[in-house]
Amino acid sequence: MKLAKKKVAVMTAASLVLSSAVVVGAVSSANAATKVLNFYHDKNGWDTRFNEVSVGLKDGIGVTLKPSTYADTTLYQNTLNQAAKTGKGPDLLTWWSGYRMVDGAKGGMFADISDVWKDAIAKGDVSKDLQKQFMVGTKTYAIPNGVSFWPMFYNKKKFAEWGLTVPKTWAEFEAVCASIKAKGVSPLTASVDGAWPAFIWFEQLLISQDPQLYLDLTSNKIKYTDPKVVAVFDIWKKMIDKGWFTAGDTSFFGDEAVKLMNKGTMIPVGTWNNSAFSVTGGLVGGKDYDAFVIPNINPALTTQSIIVEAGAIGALAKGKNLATAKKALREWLKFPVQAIWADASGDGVPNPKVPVADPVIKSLSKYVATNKVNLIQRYWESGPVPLIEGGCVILSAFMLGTKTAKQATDELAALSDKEWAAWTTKYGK
Amino acid sequence: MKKNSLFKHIVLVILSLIWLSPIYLLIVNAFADVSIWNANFDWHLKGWEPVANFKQAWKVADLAPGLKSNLFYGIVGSGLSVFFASLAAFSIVALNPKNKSLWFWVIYGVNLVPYQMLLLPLFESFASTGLYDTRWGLLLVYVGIAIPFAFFLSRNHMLSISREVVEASQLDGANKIQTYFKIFLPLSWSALGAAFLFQFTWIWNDLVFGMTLTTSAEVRPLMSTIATLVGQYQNIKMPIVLCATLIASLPTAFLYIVGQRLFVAGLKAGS
Amino acid sequence: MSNIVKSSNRLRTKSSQPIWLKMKKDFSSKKRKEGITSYLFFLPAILAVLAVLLYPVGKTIYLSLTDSEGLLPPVFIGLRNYQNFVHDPVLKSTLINVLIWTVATLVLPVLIGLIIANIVSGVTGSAVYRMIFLLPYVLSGVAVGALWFNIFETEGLLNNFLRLAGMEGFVNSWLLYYPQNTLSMIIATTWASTGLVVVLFTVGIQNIPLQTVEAATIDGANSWQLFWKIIWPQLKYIRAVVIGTALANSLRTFDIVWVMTGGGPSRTSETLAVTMYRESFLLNRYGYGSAIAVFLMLLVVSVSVLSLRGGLKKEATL
Repeated sequence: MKLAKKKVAVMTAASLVLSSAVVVGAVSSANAATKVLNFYHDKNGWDTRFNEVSVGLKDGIGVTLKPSTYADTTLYQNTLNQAAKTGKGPDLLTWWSGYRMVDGAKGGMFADISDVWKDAIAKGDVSKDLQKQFMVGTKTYAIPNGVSFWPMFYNKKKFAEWGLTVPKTWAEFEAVCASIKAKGVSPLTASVDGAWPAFIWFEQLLISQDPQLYLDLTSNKIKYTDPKVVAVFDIWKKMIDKGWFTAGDTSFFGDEAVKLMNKGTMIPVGTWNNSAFSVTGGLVGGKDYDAFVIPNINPALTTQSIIVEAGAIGALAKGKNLATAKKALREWLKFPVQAIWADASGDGVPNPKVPVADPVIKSLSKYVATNKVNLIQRYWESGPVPLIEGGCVILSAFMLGTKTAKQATDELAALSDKEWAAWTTKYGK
Repeated sequence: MKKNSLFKHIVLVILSLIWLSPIYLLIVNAFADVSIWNANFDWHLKGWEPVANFKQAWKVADLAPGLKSNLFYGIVGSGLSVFFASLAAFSIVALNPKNKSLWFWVIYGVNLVPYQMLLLPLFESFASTGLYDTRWGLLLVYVGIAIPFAFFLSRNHMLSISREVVEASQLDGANKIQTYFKIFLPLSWSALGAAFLFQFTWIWNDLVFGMTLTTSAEVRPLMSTIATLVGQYQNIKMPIVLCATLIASLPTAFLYIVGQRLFVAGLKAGS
Repeated sequence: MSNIVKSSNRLRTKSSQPIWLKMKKDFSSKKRKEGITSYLFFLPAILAVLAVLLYPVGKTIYLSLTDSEGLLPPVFIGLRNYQNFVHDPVLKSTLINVLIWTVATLVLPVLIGLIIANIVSGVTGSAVYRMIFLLPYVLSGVAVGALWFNIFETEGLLNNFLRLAGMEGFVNSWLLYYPQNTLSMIIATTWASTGLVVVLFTVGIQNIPLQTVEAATIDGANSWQLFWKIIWPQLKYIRAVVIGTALANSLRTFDIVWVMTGGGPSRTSETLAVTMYRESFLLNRYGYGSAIAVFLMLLVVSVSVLSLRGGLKKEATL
């Protein structure tokens, strides 16, 4: 019931904007028949929300989406590499920002949409701060597909029951973990399932110790064997040895996330997983569960940091309907479609004009803005792909205890040297 | 003899119980009451809601187009591949063509290639020949990949058909086509039936070729849809997912039950 | 028993050759026409197979000789990929895993399948038993993966059972560490694929002439003699199919490893196919991955040739 009411409120606001947009746009789009754009993505279960976006695009510019889900991310990426080479494939596609975009941009997968961004920034539909992670060189190649924070989700009811409060310092955080552990519940989720989740605590502990350390490390200005980095691994090891993390084969999505949340485990995950708690779990945000920004380990830091993830939506450079695809990307950033997306995803959106409806995201965004929390790009997008992929394997081994901190950092340093050298050979700089 | 038979039954019952325990697990958790589901697989019943869960699975998963496509790919694909394979096997066994060994290895060769090697080049060639995202294109791939094993099985089974039979048919003046249809085909029923069932199952359960070479809902095989029911962005509860996989497995199971009569001959078949 | 065995052997000895050869000479005028017809019979199969096989194999061999990454155009580098592969630190563990999987597959599904097929063939209700062993093969990969993951995971059913049974000491993370993760996966694969072996051997067994078996039983052969002297030799051709297929598949083990462990931890449970997939699909190093693919293909072909040649050595002209 609640969700439906929310939808109506958002749609009413949106439709006011829409009606004026339609009147203005009516003359220019009068002659265009409804065009269908093929849209490939690898987000299982998101067809519903993409279809809702399609409705918004139809109302706006008479274009609809035909989404096609690729259940296996690795196969998806390779299929798209082929599609990019042959031009046979989608008009629009989802992808990843930062370093993950470089191969596609330089290899001719993505079309240059700098003009879309120019117009969107000018009309206030997207913040200029977001542009950098979608740029390669001086051109921009994709729009953001939602903007997700990575806070710590926690069970508010259990906290009250156990007499715990949201920690503001690292000492308080450790105390909370110890208390939850004493109750026989795993305090924190951690996973090596698929290797990639290993970067979650790696990046989090680094930015809590010193965001600049993380940024220098990922831009190859300092080495993984730097004592400051090894010190973070030691902190991590202590947490592992205290048994604060769930087993390495834990899943923390969907109904598994709800199970963990209901037990009282704290879950660091992207806010795109918010619907697992609110929709699948039927939990009420702000009452049953909430999210906080993880406190700094280093008390000398004056501001907190939080990991940000922004997925990408781009247009295939060799696509047959490129002009229409670019128009659709521009329309995607406008208020009406963004409002649909905010409601359908329950997550943050790039358009700053769209009011955040979900209570947890709302209070989190407010906290981040008010306290000027540093927004740090995810590890996944922060380096050459083979380095990140290989790095996650090494980090997983460290988490499982099959490598010591020294072994892990030594191997990471060696891999880093190798892959940065290969990167420079490939692309210069 | 009776004691021997009892001993055999005991062994079989024990093995069957071991084999069925994961299936039991599947059933119990597929039919669990979703409202009390807590993401744990359990041995004990947690509610019993088969009808509700099946209904929900059908609603949530949009299985109809995939089931339709799969029936086409499975029956036509497996049927054609077994037919072509048996023709080739017959030729190699009974007609003695030149370079027999070479042809055997060429046809059997696909079975020896790591299938991942085929994916991206096939996408490339499909894209340039217009076969991408078409039923016939995917069918061709299924037939091509299903032939080798069916061929190997038919050929080896035909080798075991006694020489006397072959010679007798030759002396009768039967031409090759008659020999194939009247002699070899009937004698190879069980082997060809087994080949059909196995290749049907392989085609039915294929995920990667369907996902790489097709994209529209009408053309895509079933597993491409089933695989989208899990994942980090997906919020469907496990019992519903399991019910969807059960629906997806029903036609194959049914086919095997019906096909059991191929193997019912036991030690009765003569030559 | 011995009489019947001897007489059926006689038909397969060289003494029957002259009759056959004589017939061939009689039809020599039709030889060319026959030749073309025999080719026509396997033409559809050849065409279908080549349509699927030709370009991908050719492309892969070509790419293996190039440095081809992501969307960049391939650059010819000769055999450098192969040289690098020989020096790849993961090569040793990868090959050991392939060996483990091959031995395990030959011993477990094949041997167990043979035993079960043999027992099932003689009892009433064989159809029901066969169906039970086939059910796992019929299930979709998603269901099989979910089931065994939940059995073997750290908070899963196996460990729960061990705790309940008072065997806390045996509790382990069955999927996270090597080599127990490989053992877990072998168990899951055996469960899923033994049914196939049962059916194949059943096909073989049921084509043994009943007279042969009855004669042996009358002669006083017990179960073991019956199996070893009568059934086992008659299974020669089916045996070749089962072993040949088991070898080809186990050398290329990929799906279960990729889904259950991703080849981890630290790539210790990787098989050759997983290594190939990792390099090509995950890291987009198509040149290097193709070299591994060619290496794997050559390995499977050589092993297959050896196993088939060895098995059918006794066969004369066929």
